[in-house]
Amino acid sequence: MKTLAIGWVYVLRILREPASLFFFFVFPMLMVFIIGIQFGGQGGRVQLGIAGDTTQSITDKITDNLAANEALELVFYEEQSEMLRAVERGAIAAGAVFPPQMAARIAVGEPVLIGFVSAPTGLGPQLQATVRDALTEVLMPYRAARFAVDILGVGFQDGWSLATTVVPEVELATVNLETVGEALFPPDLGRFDGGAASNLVLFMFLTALTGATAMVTDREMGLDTRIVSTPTSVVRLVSGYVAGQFGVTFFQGVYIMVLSLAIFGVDWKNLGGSVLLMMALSLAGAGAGMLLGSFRLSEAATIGIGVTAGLVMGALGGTMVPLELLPDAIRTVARFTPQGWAMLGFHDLQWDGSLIDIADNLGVLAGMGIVLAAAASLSVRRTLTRPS
Amino acid sequence: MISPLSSLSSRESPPVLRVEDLRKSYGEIKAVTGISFEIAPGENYGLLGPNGAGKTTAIQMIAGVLAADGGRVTVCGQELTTGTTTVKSHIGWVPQEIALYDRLSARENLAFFGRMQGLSGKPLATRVSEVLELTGLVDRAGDKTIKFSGGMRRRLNIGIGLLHQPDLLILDEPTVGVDIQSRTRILDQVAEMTSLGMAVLYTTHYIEEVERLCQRVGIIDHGVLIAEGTRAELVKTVGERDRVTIAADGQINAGVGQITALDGVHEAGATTDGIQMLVDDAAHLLPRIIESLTRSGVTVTGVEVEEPNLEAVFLHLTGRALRD
Ligand SMILES: Nc1ncnc2c1ncn2[C@@H]1O[C@H](COP(=O)(O)OP(=O)(O)OP(=O)(O)O)[C@@H](O)[C@H]1O
Ligand SMILES: [Mg+2]
Repeated sequence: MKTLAIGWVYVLRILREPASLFFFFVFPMLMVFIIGIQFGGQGGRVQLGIAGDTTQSITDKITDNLAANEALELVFYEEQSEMLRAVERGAIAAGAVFPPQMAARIAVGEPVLIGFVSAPTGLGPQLQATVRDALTEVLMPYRAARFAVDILGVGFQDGWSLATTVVPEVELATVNLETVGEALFPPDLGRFDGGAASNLVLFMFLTALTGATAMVTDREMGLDTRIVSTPTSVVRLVSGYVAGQFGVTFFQGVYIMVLSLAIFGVDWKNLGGSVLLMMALSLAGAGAGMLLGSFRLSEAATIGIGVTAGLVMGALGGTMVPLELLPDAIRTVARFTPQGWAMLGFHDLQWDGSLIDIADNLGVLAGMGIVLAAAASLSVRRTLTRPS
Repeated sequence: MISPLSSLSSRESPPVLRVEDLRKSYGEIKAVTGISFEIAPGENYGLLGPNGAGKTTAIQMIAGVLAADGGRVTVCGQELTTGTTTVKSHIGWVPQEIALYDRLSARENLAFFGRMQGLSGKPLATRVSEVLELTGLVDRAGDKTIKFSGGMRRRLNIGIGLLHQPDLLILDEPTVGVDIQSRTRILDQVAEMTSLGMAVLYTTHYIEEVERLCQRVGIIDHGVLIAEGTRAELVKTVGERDRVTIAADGQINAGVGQITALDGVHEAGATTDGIQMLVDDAAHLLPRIIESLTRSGVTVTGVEVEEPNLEAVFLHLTGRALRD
C-alpha cells in the first residue's frame, strides 16, 4: 500500500507540473510522429533500382520475387550510370545490376556477378540481404542443375529437368536455412518496423533515466527524509519511486505504440508480446533511473548523465544501428544492456516469435530492474542517513 | 505555566525519550558531542541554542533520519536507529526546513503522510479533518501548497507531524520566518498538544518561546548540552539579581561611588552613556538608587530593568549573547 501511495504521488506530481507534462505527453507524441512517418503505412516504400539486362526470363523471376516484398518499390533504369547517380543523390536506397545472358553462363558453369550499389549509410545492407535472398530462391534450380551436371556428368538440359523435379521438395528447407542466417528482415515484413521498436526502446529508457530528477527534487525538498522519519523503510521508499517511474515509462510506451498504430498504422506485429517487453523494459529503466537518482547529484548533472547514458547504452544496445550489423564485440556488450535485450526481444517478435521466444528477454529485463532497484535502495540507505 | 503537580507525576512514569551520549561529526566539525537527556510523558522540553549549536543534528538523530556516530536513543522503551521502522510511529518529527509536496493540496499532503504513518480509511479521513481544523487550513484544504503563504506552509508542516497523534512531537524551530499571528497560533497549538498529554521536544533560539512553553530546558552550544533544568533552576545558577541599566548624564563616577555603597547593589559601573549594575531586588531598591544618583549630581534620563532570564543564563555560561 505504501509503495503504491509513494508511486502514485510520484505520478501525480508529473501530471500536475506543466513542464513535466510536456515531457509526459508531448514528447512521446513527437516520437509517434517520428515513428509513424518513417514506418507507418502511409510512409513511402523503400525504392530499389534495377538496371542492366532485364530482358531475360531469369531476371523476370528475380524482379517478380523482389516486387512481392511489399516494403520494396522497384525502379527500372535504362542506363546503369543513371541508376548510380540516383543512388548517390539518395533518390533511391540501392540498386542492382544484372549482367546479360545469366542463364547461359550458369549453364556452362561460368561465375555470374550481380552488381549491387548503395550509399554507405541507410538501408543498403538490409537491401543487399533482401536481394541476395531473392537471388538464392530463383537461382536454386540452376545451382541444382549445375550440381547434377558436375556430379552425374549429364548435359545441362538433363540436369535442369532433374533439378526442377527434385528442387520443389528441397527448396523450402534450403531457402529457409539461408534466410535465417543472412536476411535481416522476414521476407513478408510489410514495413521496416524494427526501426519503430528501436526508436521506442531508445526513448523509453532515456526518459526513465531522466526520471531520476524526481528523486533529486524530493531530496532537495527533504521529502525522502520525511518519509523515512515515518515507519517506512528505505526499501519501501525506493520501491515506491520505482513503481511510479515504471508506471510513467510503461504508460508512455503504450501511448506511443497505440497512437502510432492508430494514426499511422505502424505494424507492431505481436501487440501482446510488445506490451510485455515494454513492461519489462520499463521496470529495468525505472530501476536504472532510480539508481541514478540515488547518487545525490545535482539536477543538471543527473539529466546530463541520464541522457548520455541513455544514448550510449542505446547505441550499444542496437537501437541506432541494428545489432545484426554491429561487430561481434558490440553484440556481446549489447547483452549487458537492457536496450539490447529489449531489441533482441522485438526482433524475435518480428520474426513471428511467440511469447516463449521472448521469455528470456522478459526474464532478463525484469531481473535487471530488480537488481538495479535493489542497488538503488542500498545507495539511498547509505546516503540518505549519512550525508557527507 | 509550570504546574508542579503534572511535572511531579510525569517524573514518575518512564521517559518517552531517553538520549544517551549522542555523538555526530561532519568531518572535522563536531556537531554533537555526547549529549544526554530525558523527556517524561506529557512534558515539554526545550532545546535552546544559537545557530550552529547542533540542535538540528541532534534532533535528526533522535528522529532516526540521521545515523549517529555513537550513543543511543530510546523511544517509549524501544531503541531507535535509522534502520528501525515500527518505533518511529511514536514520533512526529517536524523538520526545520519545510517538507511538503508543492503540487499536492494540503489535504493530499496530510493524507499521504498519514498513509506513511500507517493510517488508512476512516481514521485517516477523520485525522486529516481534525488537523486541518487545528492548523486553521480548512478553507484552503484543497489548494496546492505551492500557493500557500510561508506561515500556512509552516502550519501544515507542523500538522503533518501531529497526524498520527505521536507520543513525542519533535519540533525543530517551528516558528522561523512566520509573522506574529502565525507564530502565536503555532505556540498555542503546541501548548494545546502538551495539555493533551503529548510530550514535546522543542528547539529554538527564541528565549521567549522556551520560557512560555517549556517545563524543562536544555541549553546547547557547540554540540554540548551545557545546562539543563527548569527555568527557575537555570536562572538560579546566575543568581536572582536583576540587571539595571540607567541612562544618565553628569557626575557619573561620583554616582557610581554612591550607589556601590548601597546594600543590595552589586558590580555597579559606568558605561558609555550611563551606569549599569546588578540589583538584588530592583522593584524595591530603584527609588533609593535614583535618589542617591540625583543627590550626587547625576541626571537620570532613562531606566531599564531586566529580570534574570535564560538569556542571562546563556551569557553567564558562554560569555556570549544567544543571538548576535
Ligand atoms: N550536512 C552537513 N554537513 C556538514 N556540516 C554540517 C551538516 N549539517 C550541519 N553541519 C554542521 O554541524 C553544526 C551543527 O549544525 P546544526 O544544523 O545541527 O545546528 P543548529 O543548532 O540546528 O543551527 P540552526 O539554529 O542554525 O538551525 C554546524 O557547524 C553545521 O555547520
Ligand atoms: Mg537547526
